[in-house]
Amino acid sequence: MAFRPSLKKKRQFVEAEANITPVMNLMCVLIPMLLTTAKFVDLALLEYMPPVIQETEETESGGPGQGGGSTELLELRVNIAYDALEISILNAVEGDNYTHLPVLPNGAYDFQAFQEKLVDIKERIVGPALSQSEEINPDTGQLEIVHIFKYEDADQIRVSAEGDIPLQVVIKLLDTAREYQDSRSVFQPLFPSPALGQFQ
Amino acid sequence: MAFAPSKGKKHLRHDEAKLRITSLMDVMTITLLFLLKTYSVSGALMKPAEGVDLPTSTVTQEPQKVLGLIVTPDGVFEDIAAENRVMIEGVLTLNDDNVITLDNLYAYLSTVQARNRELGREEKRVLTIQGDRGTPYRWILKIINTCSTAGFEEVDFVVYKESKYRG
Repeated sequence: MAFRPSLKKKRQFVEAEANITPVMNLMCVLIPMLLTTAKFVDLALLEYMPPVIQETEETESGGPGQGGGSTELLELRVNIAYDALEISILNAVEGDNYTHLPVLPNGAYDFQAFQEKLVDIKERIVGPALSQSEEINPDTGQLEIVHIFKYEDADQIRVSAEGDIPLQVVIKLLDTAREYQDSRSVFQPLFPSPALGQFQ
Repeated sequence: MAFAPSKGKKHLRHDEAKLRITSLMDVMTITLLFLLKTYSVSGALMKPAEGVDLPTSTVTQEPQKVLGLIVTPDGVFEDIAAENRVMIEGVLTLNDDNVITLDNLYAYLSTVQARNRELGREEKRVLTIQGDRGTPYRWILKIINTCSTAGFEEVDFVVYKESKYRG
């Protein structure tokens, strides 16, 4: 006796199709919304705090370094001339504490040599931090570690430029002076507090 | 006399025509993922001003919406849409070496601060400058000096972000 053929064999296989219309609707809403809010250029802010001019008052106990810090000033200055970058420390106008970096043959400033010079000043002249203290930042209200160096203005750089020097050059110089990559490719602070002034 | 229908047409099956949207879905899914990845709220806060070629920098600080100024080669303007832009200081004053503080800019900043005080808004002493990359240093110095005199403690420059890992 032959077996009756299974009913399963006769079942028609209907191709199942997912209904993707709601997904399409969602995409048609999401894509225009995201396109309108998309950020194709990345903007950032270069923060600059103009130095506060204070009436310096001579006191019996001494000047600005009475809070346990040093009283010596590094006086790191950079002049952006039309034909060179002039770096000076300790108010020098010539000698070992003065460096003149002429523009490259293509007319661009030699920012690499400039950074190398700043690293040299930071490592050789400023040296490592003498001590560190914890202070509350008045702006953020958070506890921060403050390093105390040999010089009171160890993180400052006074920048001045000739009148027609473009903003891009000044910003590039500030970027170069802010930090550097050490031999382990770690970014280390250099002179992150700039003060812009008149060309001297 | 009517022709007899051809055998081919006789057996033609009238199936429902369907639009194949699988490839369209693929494209949309990829676009959606890309846009979601690059989505950022801060982009909506600040847009680069028209007609200003901003400088590039390696800073990473996100922009914030505060009082702004636009500095173009034609002068200093209020930070509003290009068609309604009002000039605050012209080239003549900005180039004048005898001028240290810009009077019109000082008056504008004082007015804005006074209006904010009247309206009870939080007084922010931060100002952003969208300056063209070719703006001369003498202009920048005068603007910063004027802002500082008007009581602004921080003057921020809007820049295009640039990778600091680039050689």
